[in-house]
Amino acid sequence: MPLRAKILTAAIFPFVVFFILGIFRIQQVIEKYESALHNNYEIKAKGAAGNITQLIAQLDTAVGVLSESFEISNALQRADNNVLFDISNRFINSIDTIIFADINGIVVARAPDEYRFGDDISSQKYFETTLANGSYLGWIIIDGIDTIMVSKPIKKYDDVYVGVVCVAFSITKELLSSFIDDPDLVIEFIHKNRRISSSDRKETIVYSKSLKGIIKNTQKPLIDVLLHFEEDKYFSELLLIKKSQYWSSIPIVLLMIVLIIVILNRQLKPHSMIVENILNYANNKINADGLKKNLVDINHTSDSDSAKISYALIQMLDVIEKNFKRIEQYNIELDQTNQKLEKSLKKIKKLSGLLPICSYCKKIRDDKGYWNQIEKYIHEHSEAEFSHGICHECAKKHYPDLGLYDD
Amino acid sequence: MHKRIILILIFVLCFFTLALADSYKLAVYPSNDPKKLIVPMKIMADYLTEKSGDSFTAIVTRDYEELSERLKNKSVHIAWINPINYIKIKAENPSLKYIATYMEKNEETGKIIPYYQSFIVSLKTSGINTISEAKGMTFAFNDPGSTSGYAFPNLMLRQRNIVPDKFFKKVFFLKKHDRVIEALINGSIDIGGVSDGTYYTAVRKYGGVFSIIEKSDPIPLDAIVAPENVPADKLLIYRKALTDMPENHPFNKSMRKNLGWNAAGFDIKDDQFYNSMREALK
Repeated sequence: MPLRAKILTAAIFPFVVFFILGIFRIQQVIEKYESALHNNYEIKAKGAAGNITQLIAQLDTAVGVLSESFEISNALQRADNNVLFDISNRFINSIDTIIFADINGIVVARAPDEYRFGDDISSQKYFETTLANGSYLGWIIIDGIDTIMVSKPIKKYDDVYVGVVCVAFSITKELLSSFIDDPDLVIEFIHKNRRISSSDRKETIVYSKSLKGIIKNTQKPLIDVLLHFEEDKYFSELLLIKKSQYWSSIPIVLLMIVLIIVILNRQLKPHSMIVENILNYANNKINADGLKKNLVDINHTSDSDSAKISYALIQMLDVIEKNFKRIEQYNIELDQTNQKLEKSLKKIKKLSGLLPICSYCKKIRDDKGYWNQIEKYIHEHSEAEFSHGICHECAKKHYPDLGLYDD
Repeated sequence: MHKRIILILIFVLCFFTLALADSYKLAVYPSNDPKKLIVPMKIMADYLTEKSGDSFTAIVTRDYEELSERLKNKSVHIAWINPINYIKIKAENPSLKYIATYMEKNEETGKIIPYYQSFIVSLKTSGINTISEAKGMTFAFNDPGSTSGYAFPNLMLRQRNIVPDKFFKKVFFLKKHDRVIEALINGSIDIGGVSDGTYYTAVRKYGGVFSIIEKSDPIPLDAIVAPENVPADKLLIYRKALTDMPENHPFNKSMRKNLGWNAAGFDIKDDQFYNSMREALK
């Protein structure tokens, strides 16, 4: 690996490692924060439940006090609107509506609406239920306003009712907000098709918890209470950081991939070129000179292993070339030798057949049927030349007088 | 040393005795909103203080019963009391001392007279023109102790053989004249009994939306009385002070402004003056 690549890798690798560790760390923080957030949700839910329970207890206490007052019982029997209003008006700071009705269901006094009485509530379910069951807790609509009402009968004697007292809280955004005392929390009361929320914000709600059964009427859940938790500002910021980390990791990863590709390309391209040239050479697409030229180019463009390989291949090619030349020379020489040999063989062939020779004069008959002197025949059918002489025996035989071989 | 302590004790005792002796109370029954009622009564208390030298403080009792009780137990020195209670208390306690009678300028005649009337009124929109047309509707009295708000309206009904609890769907006791008017305006009742002063005040406030269904005979106006322990000379001083009150006195103006009553000072009548009412209530 070249030095530049090593430096680059050494610089980027820790950065990438720390970056990935950072993402994991943020994820851990987010998980811990989310867990803490849910614990906080539970605490707030308990707080809200306590406040709601306290409200119902407050209603119960008020209705208990008002229903058991001897003064109220007397005032109701006398239809003394003023006394009933004055007494009920004292509770109005802590309760939204108080209604006193006589046994016939005629409203004798109402607070805080001092001059709203005289209406007939005898057909109302809460009035009938109160007289029938001795108490009532329910969700009713008074003057178009949703309310939680608690009512009890007012007695003259233990077994004689003279009327009914109803106390109610208007289920308003303000009341619901008072249960939670948290701007990031939304509380919702649901009863049948009625639904009232402390806030209209819905888009930012991230978690909801039900307090079902907290307000019961004869052991049956009367109101479904839902707590909606809005997006936590700090948690959102954490998620944003996480998101930005993920998004910023994309160009970094892409950059890394590009860098790796570039580095690998720079590292592997000469090898690929060498292989490609060798294959081209093997497939006769280029000759040895072309291969050598290309290898020289690769050798010049890099000082890497591939350059060394190409240099070695060039050396090998040189050796191969020299050997080829030597082989060619050998071939030429061999050809020449062969030619000579062929000629010799041709001559040897002429003499090698069945030569008809005269048993006496040793003349040889040729293909045409003529008898030739043996010297002449061999001379004509071979490269042999004759130099005439006289052997020992012949000299003795034919020229004994001359003593040619006496010495 | 002992003499000095005795002198100090005597001085302190004299101081508290004088302070207690000088603390006089002018009590009035809550015929209207006490916050409004107390304003002219304070002016009247100041006037009596100025004229008599006795330091008067104005108080509004919770109801007629309290005023009657306090006259009996002598915890007030002068009381503004309506005729019906005057008759009752006088019957129970003959020693109750009469001082003067409150007077009003009649809205219709412009005369200053010690009489007023009780009206049974409704809203014009109710369509009720006679009491018989109000059968099955809701009715409001002022207070069982009220002359014009209960005794005379009840008398007018009974003269027509009407038993309110049976004739009306519901009968309310609203305790104050102006509450009857407000209940009418707000539609809580269909018909009710009020004093003529209350009626005219309501007309000035709401315009001619009301209709008078019945008018009573003249009713003697409220009496100013004192318990039996108030000395006769004091009584004369108080009586002279009240009858000398000019018509344009701030008290009369305040009565008109705060209560809508056409107050016009005081006149000296006597116990016999209330006999007509005694007859009416028999």
